[in-house]
Amino acid sequence: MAAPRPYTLVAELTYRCPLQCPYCSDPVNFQALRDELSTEQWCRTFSEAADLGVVQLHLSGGEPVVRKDLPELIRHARQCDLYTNLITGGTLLNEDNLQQFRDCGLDHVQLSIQDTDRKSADLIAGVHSYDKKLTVARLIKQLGFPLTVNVVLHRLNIDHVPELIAQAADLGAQRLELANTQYYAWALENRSALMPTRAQRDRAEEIAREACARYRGVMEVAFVQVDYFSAEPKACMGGWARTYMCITPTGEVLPCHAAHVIPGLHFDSVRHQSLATIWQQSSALNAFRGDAWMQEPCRSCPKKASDFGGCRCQAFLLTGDAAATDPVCRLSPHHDIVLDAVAVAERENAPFVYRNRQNSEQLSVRS
Amino acid sequence: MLVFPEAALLLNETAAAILKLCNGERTLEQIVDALAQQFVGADRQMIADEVTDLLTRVRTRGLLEV
Repeated sequence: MAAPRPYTLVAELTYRCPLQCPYCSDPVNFQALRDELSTEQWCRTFSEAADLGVVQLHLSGGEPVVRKDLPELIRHARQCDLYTNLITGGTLLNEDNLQQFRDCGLDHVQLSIQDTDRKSADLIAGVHSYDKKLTVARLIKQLGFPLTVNVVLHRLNIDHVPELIAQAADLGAQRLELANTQYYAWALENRSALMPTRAQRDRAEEIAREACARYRGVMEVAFVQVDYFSAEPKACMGGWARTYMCITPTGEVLPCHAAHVIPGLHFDSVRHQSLATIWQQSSALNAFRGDAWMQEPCRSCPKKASDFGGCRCQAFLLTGDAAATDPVCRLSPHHDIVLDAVAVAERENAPFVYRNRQNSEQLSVRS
Repeated sequence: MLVFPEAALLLNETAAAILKLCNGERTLEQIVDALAQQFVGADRQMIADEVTDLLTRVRTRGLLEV
């Protein structure tokens, strides 16, 4: 089938990061993936993305600010007329580099904040970072950037949603993302430590809904669901390789940041082929485009054009079959796997496995 | 197209013409004046209503600060 127009490119510039958040979406074996694309390779890729129709560029990681060439990458992306969003943990930002990014044309900054209490925030990040993040958030605003505060929600911080909302408003954020953890990569390793109870989720959602109305026009409040609690699957990425692409630090073109977990898919690299060729012809990107790959109950489901059968990575991770219905769907024959995981998480209180080099090496040996 | 962090709005010609004029300096009045010159023969009140409606909507979405 003909490839659709991509709108969004997530450029994961590096897997290096000073934080150790236990819900990180980087691959568990990130430590082995250190051969990063060069400045020239990224710039060429941005030009090719813009030619394909991409309008939005998320500069992400790891921590993208560790890349010394970030100003050059931003400048080049702006020359290609891409809207540039820096997705950062903030700990490496200061007035000098923020000013430099602004001079290069950076449009927007998305800053992660772990909690509203220093002790808890630093426990989640695995390093002291809370005070620095608040300072940086104020600098971002002083320099005139629009700011999104992103908080990944889980058992330890979800009861602080009222304070998280007040904190983001106080920092002058234009947008607050209260994004419940999605269980992939490190978050899947830590699922039993991270998953909130349904009661916690219900309270948080109610408060977020009320804040959404109260801050309308001042600060957008977005609440991303715990999909394990839903009866219907999320329309993951708006469909596989439809409008969104993710390029890893080493240059592989993925439909999302998690897809490398699916065995048997070969992801082509921008080191060897043009982005246009990959977007149109990559066997991995074509594997789940459209609906020809679907099985029952998806195949005959009236919702297949809107939920796309849910998430392929989650289908694989939980059932072992990437073409299965996402087991979050109550119609999935494997829905009990999700219900069991929720029940186990409610009983257990496991310690965090932090995202760091040592744990990456240990977990890689296991797999 | 109006692009922001998590989405993009595909604008029709009228909306694009209005938002192009929002430069942080023009007043609402001046934007309506400029559009009245651009779209000769259009009713000024109709233009003013359209501008107010659009700007209210993008402001509610947090895409315009006044």
